[in-house]
Amino acid sequence: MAASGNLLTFVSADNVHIEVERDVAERSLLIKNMLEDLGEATEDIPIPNVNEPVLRKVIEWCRHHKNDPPASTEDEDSRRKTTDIDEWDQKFTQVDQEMLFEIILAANYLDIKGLLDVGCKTVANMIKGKSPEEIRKTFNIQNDFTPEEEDQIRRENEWAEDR
Amino acid sequence: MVPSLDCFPEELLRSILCYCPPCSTAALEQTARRFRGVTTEPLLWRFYCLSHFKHWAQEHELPEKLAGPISAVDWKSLYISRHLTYRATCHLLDNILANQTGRIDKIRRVIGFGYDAKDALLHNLEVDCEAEDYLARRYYAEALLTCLHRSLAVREWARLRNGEEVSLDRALGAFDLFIPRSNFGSLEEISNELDSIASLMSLNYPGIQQLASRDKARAIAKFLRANNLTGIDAEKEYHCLEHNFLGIALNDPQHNSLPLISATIYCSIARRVGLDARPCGFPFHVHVIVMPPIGHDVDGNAVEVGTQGSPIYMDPFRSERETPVTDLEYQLNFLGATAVEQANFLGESRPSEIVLRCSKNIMNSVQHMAQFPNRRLEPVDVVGAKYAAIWSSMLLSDLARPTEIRHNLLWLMELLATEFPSDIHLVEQYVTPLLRGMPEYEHILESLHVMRAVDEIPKQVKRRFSQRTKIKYQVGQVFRHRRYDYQAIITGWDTECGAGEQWMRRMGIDRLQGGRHQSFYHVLVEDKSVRYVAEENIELMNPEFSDLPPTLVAVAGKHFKKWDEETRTFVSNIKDEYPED
Amino acid sequence: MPAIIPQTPHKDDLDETWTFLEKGIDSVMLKLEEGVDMKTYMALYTAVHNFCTSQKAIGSSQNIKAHHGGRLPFLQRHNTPRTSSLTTFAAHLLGEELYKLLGEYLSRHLDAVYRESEGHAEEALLGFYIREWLRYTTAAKYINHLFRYLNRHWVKREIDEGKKNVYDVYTLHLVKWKDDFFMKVHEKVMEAVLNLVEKQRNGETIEQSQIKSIVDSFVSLGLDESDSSKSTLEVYRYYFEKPFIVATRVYYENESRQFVAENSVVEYMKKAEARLDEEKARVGLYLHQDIAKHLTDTCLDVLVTAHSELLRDEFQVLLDNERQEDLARMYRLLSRIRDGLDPLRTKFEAHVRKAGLAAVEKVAADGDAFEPKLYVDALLQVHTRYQSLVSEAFNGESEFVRSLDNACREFVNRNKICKSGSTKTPELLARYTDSLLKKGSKAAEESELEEMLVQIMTVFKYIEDKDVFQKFYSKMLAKRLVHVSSVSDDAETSMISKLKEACGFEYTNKLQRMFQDIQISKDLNASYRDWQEKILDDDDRRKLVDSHFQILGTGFWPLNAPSTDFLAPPEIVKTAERFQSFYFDKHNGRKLTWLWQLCKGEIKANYIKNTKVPYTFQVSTFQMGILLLFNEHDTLSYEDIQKATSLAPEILDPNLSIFLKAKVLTISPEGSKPEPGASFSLNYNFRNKKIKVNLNIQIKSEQKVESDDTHKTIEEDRKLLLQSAIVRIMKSRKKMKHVQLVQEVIQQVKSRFPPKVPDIKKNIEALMEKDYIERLDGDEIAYIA
Repeated sequence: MAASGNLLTFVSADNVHIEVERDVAERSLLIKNMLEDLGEATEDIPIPNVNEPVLRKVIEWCRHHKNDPPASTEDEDSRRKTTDIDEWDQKFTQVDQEMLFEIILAANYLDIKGLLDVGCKTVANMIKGKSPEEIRKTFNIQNDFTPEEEDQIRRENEWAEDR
Repeated sequence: MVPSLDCFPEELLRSILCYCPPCSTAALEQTARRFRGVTTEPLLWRFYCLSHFKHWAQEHELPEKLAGPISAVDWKSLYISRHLTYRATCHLLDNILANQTGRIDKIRRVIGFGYDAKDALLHNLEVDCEAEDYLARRYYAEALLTCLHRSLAVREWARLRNGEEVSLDRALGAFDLFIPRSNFGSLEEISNELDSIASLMSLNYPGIQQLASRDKARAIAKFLRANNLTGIDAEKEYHCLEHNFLGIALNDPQHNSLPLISATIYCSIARRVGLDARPCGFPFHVHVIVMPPIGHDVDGNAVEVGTQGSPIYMDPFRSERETPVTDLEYQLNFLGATAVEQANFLGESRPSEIVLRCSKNIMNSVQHMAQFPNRRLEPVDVVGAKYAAIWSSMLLSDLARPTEIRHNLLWLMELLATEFPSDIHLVEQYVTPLLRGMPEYEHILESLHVMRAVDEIPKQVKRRFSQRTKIKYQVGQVFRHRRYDYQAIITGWDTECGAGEQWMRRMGIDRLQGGRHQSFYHVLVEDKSVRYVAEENIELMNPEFSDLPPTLVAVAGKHFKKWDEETRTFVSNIKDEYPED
Repeated sequence: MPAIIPQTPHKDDLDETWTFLEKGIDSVMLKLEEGVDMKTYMALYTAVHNFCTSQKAIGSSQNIKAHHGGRLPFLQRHNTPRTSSLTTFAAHLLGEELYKLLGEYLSRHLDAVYRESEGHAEEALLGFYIREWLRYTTAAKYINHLFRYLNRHWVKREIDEGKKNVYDVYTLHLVKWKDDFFMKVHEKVMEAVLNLVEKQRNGETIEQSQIKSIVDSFVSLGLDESDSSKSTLEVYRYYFEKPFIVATRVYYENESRQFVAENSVVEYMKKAEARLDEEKARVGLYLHQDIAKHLTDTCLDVLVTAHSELLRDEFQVLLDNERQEDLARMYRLLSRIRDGLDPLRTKFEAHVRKAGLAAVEKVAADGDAFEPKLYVDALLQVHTRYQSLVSEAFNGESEFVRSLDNACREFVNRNKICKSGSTKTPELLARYTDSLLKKGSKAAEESELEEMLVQIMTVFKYIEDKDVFQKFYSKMLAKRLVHVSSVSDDAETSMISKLKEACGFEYTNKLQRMFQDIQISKDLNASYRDWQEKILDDDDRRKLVDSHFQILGTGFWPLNAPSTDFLAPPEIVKTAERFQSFYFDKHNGRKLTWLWQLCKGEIKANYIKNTKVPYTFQVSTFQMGILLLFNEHDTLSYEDIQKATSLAPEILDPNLSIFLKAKVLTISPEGSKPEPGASFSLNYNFRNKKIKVNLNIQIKSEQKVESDDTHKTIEEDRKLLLQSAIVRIMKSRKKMKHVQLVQEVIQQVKSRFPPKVPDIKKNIEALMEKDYIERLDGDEIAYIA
């Protein structure tokens, strides 16, 4: 089953075929580069690292953002990064933690900078303002320090406690 | 496998941390071993340093640190120290706002942080109108910031006085640090501006480094003139105050400057492209003297070992050509200079001499403005300019000429008392040591001591109910003077006239209807002056905030937290003195 | 047909991952023309991604496998007794192994390419190089995309940390190409390139696009060591430009040496010019623009500088033969090299001077009796000829213009005709000007006249003694005005304004005032006639002499009071007195001096009866005084005449001679000269063809005397000019060194005439004697207030 014209076919890791418009798909730099290298897409495109539900979610994001200006080149290295997220994206990321993490991993894999940024900001906002214990609870992290180590690290970071 | 935070690859965690406040990153570090590595990564902390702090004291040598290997710097410790300074600055400012006593010492401590304090001060300066004490916060943040800038300038002149090597652009750039309008907060920023002009120049003349001195000198002058970086536009007033400032000349799109500043720009650019150019002490019009390297003449020919060819002279203010030395000699002859004077006038001027000359120029411009007022609104803060001229002259004048020092001292103490009270520790640090042995020494020590004492002793609390007579008006109310028609804010009161007998006689207090036995008020006037007004002359206003004169609002922060829309009065920040107002 | 079956490797296993990747890279590098399918592409990208993101593979580059078992290095160190283990820990990104393996793969590939290249040479080698380069860079773009995950994280991190020698994958390809292939073959490649270029220079047709491709490749290899995102031209400059320039130099050295030996210089110049154009075009055709300046400089050096002596030697020959086109070519060539034209200018200047002197010599050959026009024309002709050469052949270049000016100044001021002194030329020029502006000038058309005045100014520009010209000019202008003999007022004003433009207001001030006086006099005469109408009685009217007066300001006119006494005839005295009383009425306190020597009039000879209309004699006032005596007597003795007129013999004798020559008077004894003892009678039988007879002829000796006088007054004027300059300077400066003062004086007066230093010194002395200035110690001079 070959896609034609402006329609591409993704095949997810669990072998589901999903049709995507080319301009939507090209939000992924991986796909964009590949199409540039190989020319017209005459076959299905396997996406071996992403399952169907996640892939659909990712495509939903790309479709909403298909007219965004291309991601700026990495000149923002020393700028303080804003954690503001626009309304649509906030709604988009109101999913369970597992799905959120899957989306981030997929965005990283598919090289979709905008989506990756939204994902990272969301996680950062979940960390912000929390004590170590609260963070452990939020992300279900196991404390594997010895009491001595924990004490040492806490002392090292006392500067950050008092606002 | 259920994905969780700890199954993210390092690079993803890193991306997330870029969006985290550093305090949260520190919290994450404490959760589990897995995050210890990524949260302590030097690159991340370097990123935090650069993204959170824009202004760095020169002592950090930040450009060198950035150029070196990442591992050579403990970026996290650096961040922590900046963070602590930031917090300490904010606490000190909060303290200053909270209490009228001990302010001098708090100011000294903030200034002691040096340029590192600037980020915190800027953030406080930009506080929005929602803040409870935004007027006071902005006022004192600005006072601190300008004091900080001045302290950097004064330090530079003091170094010059001590005979340390100070580059011309730093010595003259120091004047700009007294002038908010020049937009320069540190001497490095001015140097950077000159660096970028020099590299633009190198770009335009790729072979410039290889040229012989004469050709190089011409190329520089040509470049500066072509880019209009020197001289004064024909229609501009020569004596305009702003033409005295190196930073303004560089930043302003018209780049107007006096010959002294034009020559400084020339010399600074020349030094950056490897040409030995210095200002020359020619009378009335500073020229540039260009020396060939040792062992050569200006055309690049070799001369006897150890000697060097004769210099040439440039006048970047007027021309891109060199000025023949015969022309200069002719002018000097015309002026009747002796041979010794001639050698002096045609020789190099040291940076300290140029600073003094600039100081005189500024005084000239200020006087010129006084003679020809209303010429046009001067965009430069005149008081700041005058203050800079006094400081530089104070620090660099010859101690063997005490009359000049005395003259300056008088002005300095006056401006210190009226306009720049936050600078008292600068005077203590830099000026008083110079005066040791002079008759004024004890007197100045006494004045400073009094100022400190006033600052340190808590204000006498004035309660309304304990007064026998009724005080009609309150601190924070805005009124119009019945006779003189100015607008002002009440900042304090006395039950009867508390000024000295002499003052009362001079002001004719007893000719008032109520005489001296009525309430008198301390007030802050829209022209920034402080006055003492009898109750009968006060005509209370009920103004909209937007109708108040902007100058009045600007100084209101000295005593008031904010404007209260409901009562249409300013909210007092001096409750420690007037608890019931 | 897909080259491999995409089977994603196990992500934690480096060997498995690399084996998988290597197969894929191979097919991209070697068999790209067969195509790559999407499955393979995605599988390769995914393999890189999975390896880099795998948690298990964390480890240092030295012992990758050693850490496979452990979860984190932190955990392992934790078991050691040191509690400080917490501080020694760094985060790790994965990818270094892949990067290294890729680099090794490329080295192997390029080694194979090199071995194959050894079988090729010359154009075949170029073809091979270009083919392999294209294949390699195309593959590099693919591989760069496939390894993008590595670029995004591991490479970026290494660069951010300031590591040297780590590049993004595409740049890695270029670096490897340069190190492992280019460095081994560049000499052979350049040899082939240079051979090809030489063929083209020899006139053969070559495939230029090959060279263009080589250039592009060399340029691409220039990487900025400090910032891999930027490129530099270093590689291209060192490996291409340098050998190319050397070869060019050798080629043209040989060619030009041979060509010059076999051909004329003129032919060589054509050849050199053509070659320069050709090399300039070559840059545009297939070289990098960066070489342009260097290449041009080299060609100029070899083709022009090396032969510049030869070219310059030809210059005189070309000048002599007026070969304008060849001169222009020589100018174009030599103007492009450093100091190329200076020797030409010297020669040119000498040549023009010689031509000028020769032309003057020709004029002087016929002795002193030549028309000023002839002389001025000779000067102008030389100037015109070489001016046109400068603008046509030398592009009007300012230095050549200066040489021309220098030469002209020389031959205008110092030549055979003015060997007695440089004041001769200005005198002659002034006379020529006078001849043009006087009535009866040969220049009939107004435009023609204007043209000639412009030419006069050309010569005037070169004259050093401008004050001499001014002197003569004002004398002659005075005459033209007094005698109303100007050709037109417009021409006079035009000339004055030209002089004003050239020398300033002061120079023409007096000339203009003279002009004004004449205008004022016209009005004055008109009001005098009105006044006369009113006051004259009938008797006066009968005896009235028709008169016209000119009032000339003493200070402006170069005129002197009469050199002789003169008793004017009563008829005229009466008229003159009447005018005087009118004038003093108007301008009380002024003084009038009658310049009888310049006055003239007409008298009717009613005594001659043999014509119906009586003859009219045009005479000077002196002549009138003599003739009117004969109204009372038919014969008068010399002594009678002298007594009645009071005229000095120098004036009286020549005028009597004129009357004798015209046969108005006869002398007795017959044939003697006018001198005491002789007597003169009226000739009643006078006859002439014309009714109007002009007896007012200038006396020959007058002209010569006048000229000498003028020269003498010039010396006087100069002395005054020098002294006033000295006083002016000293007054403003108060004190000055002697040498400086002399310099300053020269500066101030040189626009009028070139002062001689001894003259200045003499005048300084003179002023000291007059106590204007005094000498101080140490060669200083001070002003005495």
